[in-house]
Amino acid sequence: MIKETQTPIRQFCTFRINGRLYGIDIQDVKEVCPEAGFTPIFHAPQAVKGYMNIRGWIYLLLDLRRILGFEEKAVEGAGRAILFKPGVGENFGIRVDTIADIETVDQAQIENRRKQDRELPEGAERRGIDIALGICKMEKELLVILNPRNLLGILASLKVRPE
Amino acid sequence: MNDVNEKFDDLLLNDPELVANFIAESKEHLESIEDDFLNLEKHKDHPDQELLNKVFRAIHSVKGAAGFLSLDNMTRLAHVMETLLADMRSGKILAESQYVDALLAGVDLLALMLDDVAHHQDVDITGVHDRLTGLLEGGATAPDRSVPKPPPAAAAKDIRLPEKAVADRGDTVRIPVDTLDKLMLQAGELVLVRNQHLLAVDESDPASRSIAHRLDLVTAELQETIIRTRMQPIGRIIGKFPRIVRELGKRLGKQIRIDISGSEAELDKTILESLTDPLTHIIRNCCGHGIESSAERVQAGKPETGLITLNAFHEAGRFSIEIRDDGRGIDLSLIRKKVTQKSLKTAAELEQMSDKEILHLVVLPGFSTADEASQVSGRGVGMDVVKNTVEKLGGSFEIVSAVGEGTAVNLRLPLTLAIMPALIVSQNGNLFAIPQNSLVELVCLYDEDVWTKMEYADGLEICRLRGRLLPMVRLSEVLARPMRFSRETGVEVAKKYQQQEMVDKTGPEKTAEFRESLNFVVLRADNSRYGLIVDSILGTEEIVVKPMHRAVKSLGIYAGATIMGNGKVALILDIEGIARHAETMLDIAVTAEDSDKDAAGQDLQSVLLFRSGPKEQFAMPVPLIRRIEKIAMSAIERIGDREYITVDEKSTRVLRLDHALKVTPVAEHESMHLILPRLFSRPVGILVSDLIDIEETAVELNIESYPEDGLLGTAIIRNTMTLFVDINRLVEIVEPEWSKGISS
Repeated sequence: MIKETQTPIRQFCTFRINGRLYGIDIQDVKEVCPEAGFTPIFHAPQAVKGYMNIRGWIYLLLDLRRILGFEEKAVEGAGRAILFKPGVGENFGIRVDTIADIETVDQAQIENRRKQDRELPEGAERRGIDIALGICKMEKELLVILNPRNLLGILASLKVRPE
Repeated sequence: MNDVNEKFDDLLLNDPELVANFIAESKEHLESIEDDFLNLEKHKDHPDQELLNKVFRAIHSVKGAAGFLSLDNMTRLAHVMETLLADMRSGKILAESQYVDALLAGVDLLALMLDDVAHHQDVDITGVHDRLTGLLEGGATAPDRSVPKPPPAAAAKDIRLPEKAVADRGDTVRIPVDTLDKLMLQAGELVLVRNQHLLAVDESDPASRSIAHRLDLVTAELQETIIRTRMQPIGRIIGKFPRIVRELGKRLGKQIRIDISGSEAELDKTILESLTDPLTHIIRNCCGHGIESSAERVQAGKPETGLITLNAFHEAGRFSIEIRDDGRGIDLSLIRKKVTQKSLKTAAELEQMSDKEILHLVVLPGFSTADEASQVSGRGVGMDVVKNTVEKLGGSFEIVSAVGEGTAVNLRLPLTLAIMPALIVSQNGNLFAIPQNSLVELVCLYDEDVWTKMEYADGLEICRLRGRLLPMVRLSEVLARPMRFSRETGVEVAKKYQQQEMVDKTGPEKTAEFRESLNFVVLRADNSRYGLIVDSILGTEEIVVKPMHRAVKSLGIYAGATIMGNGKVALILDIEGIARHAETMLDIAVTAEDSDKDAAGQDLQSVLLFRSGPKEQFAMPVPLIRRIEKIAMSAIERIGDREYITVDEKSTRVLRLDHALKVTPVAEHESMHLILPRLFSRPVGILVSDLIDIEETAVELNIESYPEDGLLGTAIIRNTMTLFVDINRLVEIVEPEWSKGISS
């Protein structure tokens, strides 16, 4: 599942949702920007936050918190949006609580998720969603590595926003 | 053959551009040639030398280029065509239809080979080739033409000259469509930036104001120019119609002529291309079903040759195409028959429809799969496809027909797709764009009108607008409900707003949702109309349409998104989609049909129309009424919570409708009326504030739209929702202990 790169070193853009640490391969990330206003899309799945205007381009903003199965906090505060490169999928990004550091990790440190089934993030486990690529043991905590390529695909499996 | 192919493959490999150029140029040569052949045929006795030369040159160029590329088949075919044309040019033969037929067949093959040059050898040209050769030999020997040398100068006069020679080559450049598309996209972006800049500009600074103004102008011009690069004359697709008509006419044994005007009118390439099929369809329908046989026409006192006119023109920023035939027209009674036969509509539904609506039933999918029984049925063939295509392009479609006189189909299309004018509305603080082409009018109701113009029935919210009933949909409710409306949803919504209205109107306190005014937009969707209630209407704006993101594309209520001048993304509403989503709230006709369980309920009935409260209109069948008594309010006596009045020396119980039904209270004035019903052993009368009239009407009671205890149902009488009272039940409600006393 993990692409074999020539160098065993990989860099991850990490961020927090509900206090947990997640990471996305920095090569998939186009930019990180403050979560400015977004336009809600009524009738869309709950995990869709809405449309964002990024310098004249319309991006679909997903709510990663929802996708991972965490409850929506009443007061969220301004989050951040991570936008992906075109190769990941048609113009889209995810909303995260806070951005953490760029972590440089040795490929060897990453354990394939399959071997570590019990260590899955709660949400993904609950939903059986295939977005976690692997787990990386950091000094103090675990870093869950996500695969943004599957995000758009699982939207369809999430039900429409209930009334 | 292999040898030849190799040579060509070699070329294709080494110089693909050369090959591509050859194909493009040859196609250009062939493009107008059909028309030219047909013109030659039409004026065969006075051959237009210039036109002959042009045709000859075109075929010659194709032959030359094909020879150069070693496209053997093509060269051979072009050669024999050229020879035939040479004979024609020298006056040896005239442009008889047999020659023109063969030449047209040749052109078809050439075009076919050009479409797939690499496999051109696979195309079988022998048939056509032999036919042409045969004609050549025959033409030389056969005695059929002793050549009358035409006086070319005289002939030239009444011959339509070919339109300005294709273009001066040196002034044009070939540009891939991709590049144009990209340019178009960027121009769209520029328009957005311009819009944003106009909002941000510091109006007090003259320098920046003038820059903004110039940016505005330049952008508009640039956009216009780029749009123009994508414009192509409609002649590109309608140019082949003379030939199609000619061939269809031959096949059907009819004489048909087509008159085309406006070939040079231009519209966006994308729109143009998607029009090919619909237009061809319409033309085929005209030939096949519209135009009668010559014998029939003569009998009807029409000229023997049927005429189809196609007229394309620009009008008010839209592109119009009118296709008219002078054939037999569409017989409405046959459509009615057909539609009921196929159970596409019920008799009751048809009854409610105007002639125009019935005519448009030919586009019902399923209507077209007609049997051969009637000529009219065939007219629907593929008309649903036509309608869909046109609507997808944001255009509209209309059929007008008069039996015996002919049929006209009018298409109205936008000139371009990417930028369109839209109405911006706001709902719950979000902006939405409504494409202007589906807009009929904007309405704002103030003060009392908010209450008096709106009527509620179970599952329906209706506005009485200039005497017409308009079903209403609330954008807020549509947005809040991702599931398609069920009948229950409609009931729930209508009830909610009816109750809200009652409170606002009568209660001391207004509800939180109370508004001084009610804004709605009247929209046209699929031949139906509805009002969309929104928070506020902001104005119109030119918007750049962006498609919906693939992940949310399946949502039916949006047609796309756009970026507004303030940088916010606004969703573009899909008017048809919303109509589908809230279908149950729109379909007045359907609810009327529901009640029509027995089709025999068409007898006229006289009903008394009256009012009790200020708002509702009530009705009661006249046969159930014994008498109407004029009474004075002051004569009513109260005993406990009951009211009595003396009529015919009997103490008569006064029944107020608002005591039994959820309706507005009786509007009291000094002089009132009392309806005394028949069939009651005990005297009772309904207190009425105003008598309206007695109406003879075919009542189709609608039971489901407003089921309330004490009502028989509702019906639309004089464009107003009318409640039919169930007098027996009403008496039971107010005087339960009487129930035994009702005589049967």
